[in-house]
Amino acid sequence: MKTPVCLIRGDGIGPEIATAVCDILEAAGADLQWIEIPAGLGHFEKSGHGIDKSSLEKMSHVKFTLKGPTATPSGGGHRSINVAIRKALDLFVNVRPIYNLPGLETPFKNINLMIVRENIEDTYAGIEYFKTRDVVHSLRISTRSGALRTHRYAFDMAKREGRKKITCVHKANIMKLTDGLWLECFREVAKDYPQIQSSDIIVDNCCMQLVQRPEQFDVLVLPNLFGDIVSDLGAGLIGGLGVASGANIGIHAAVFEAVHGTAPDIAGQNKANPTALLLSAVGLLKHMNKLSCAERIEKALVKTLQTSELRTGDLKGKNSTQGFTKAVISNLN
Amino acid sequence: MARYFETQNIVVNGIDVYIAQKDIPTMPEKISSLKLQAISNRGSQVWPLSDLKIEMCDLYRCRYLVETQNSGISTPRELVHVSDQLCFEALQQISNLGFEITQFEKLLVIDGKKSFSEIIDGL
Repeated sequence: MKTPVCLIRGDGIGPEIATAVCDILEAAGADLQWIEIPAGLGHFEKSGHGIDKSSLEKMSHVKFTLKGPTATPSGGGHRSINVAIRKALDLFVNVRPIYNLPGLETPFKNINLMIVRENIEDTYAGIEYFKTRDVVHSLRISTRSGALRTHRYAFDMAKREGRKKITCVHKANIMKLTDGLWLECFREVAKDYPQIQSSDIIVDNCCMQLVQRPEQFDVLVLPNLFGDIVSDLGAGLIGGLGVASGANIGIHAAVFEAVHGTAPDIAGQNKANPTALLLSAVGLLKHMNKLSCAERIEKALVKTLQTSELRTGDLKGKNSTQGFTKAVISNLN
Repeated sequence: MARYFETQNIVVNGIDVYIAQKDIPTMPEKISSLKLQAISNRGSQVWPLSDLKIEMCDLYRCRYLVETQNSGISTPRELVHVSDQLCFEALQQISNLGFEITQFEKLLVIDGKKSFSEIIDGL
């Protein structure tokens, strides 16, 4: 019996890369039943909502979602669709694997890093007030329960994947209470995992170290805003957002997404690179315990990327989206 | 002497009252001309109730906006100023009901434009 998975094709290049990924997963025998979820700017223009409440409930019920990039309607009052999904489904961690893909030239080698970002709190609660005409306050929220569950997820993931070190990133020297609580919770959770080496680092030092010796890090765990910034820095180390996958994980549901934008300038031109969404789909298959299928796709992707003429334009190749898709499928063993 | 906000064309459109307790507080839906619009927890709306399950912390933000005769809730086009007296009466009533208030915020409309973030019900 096929496993149901929700699919948000998204905006811009989203639909064409989603088709590419669905074709590859079908060819690899992933045995999934796609449940289409309308969401994004296109849906907003029709319905006035970036995503419907019934869709969120369906995503919660089905548990697994693969999501293409969505555009956020401009203008006041419209929350990012990504933020809305994370909050509504309580997807409390964002996981971004950062590792070198063979065949892609990048300034650094031997990077194999997991970035775990708290996904709900911090300044992303979206609570801001003008206090006078000239002064605005933004509330930065840090809770004990939010920090504990994020750290515990990071340690459990490290243990599951056989990783050796976790580094807690913070700015507790300045934000002594919010990041102080974050760090305190990290140290509390670390006591339960004596086999994993734990340490902490100030976020600015972490950024400097990442662009000098990224291979020293194994797992980074960060509060929301720092995590947002550092995870894109991490993507830059391995070739950019075009090859960076992401997952948003909660107790009841998980959403795997390409972290890049909708690239409206090349939308519908058969030029987009589906690698990031494909890697997100690989992450989804691993999460669903379809490990052999995930591994087959990963190997086919790596083999395809190693041949420069098979790559898409953003990776200095000349291939089309469809051509790249066919190449990956033909490389499936 | 004119109060500072009057000189700045700033109108107080309502208040956010932060309540500390374990479960979603059963707040009075109306206090004088203020009407309860929504309750949120860590920025996510939890009242009116959603079917979606989220983990909550023990601090709730309760948003009260001015109710008007014409449109129900005061809009920037039909502004009614919430006086300090009304704010404090509302806080007193809430406190008298036994709720633990940790903080309150005035919701400002500056030059007719809402100048506070909205509570969005996940959509």
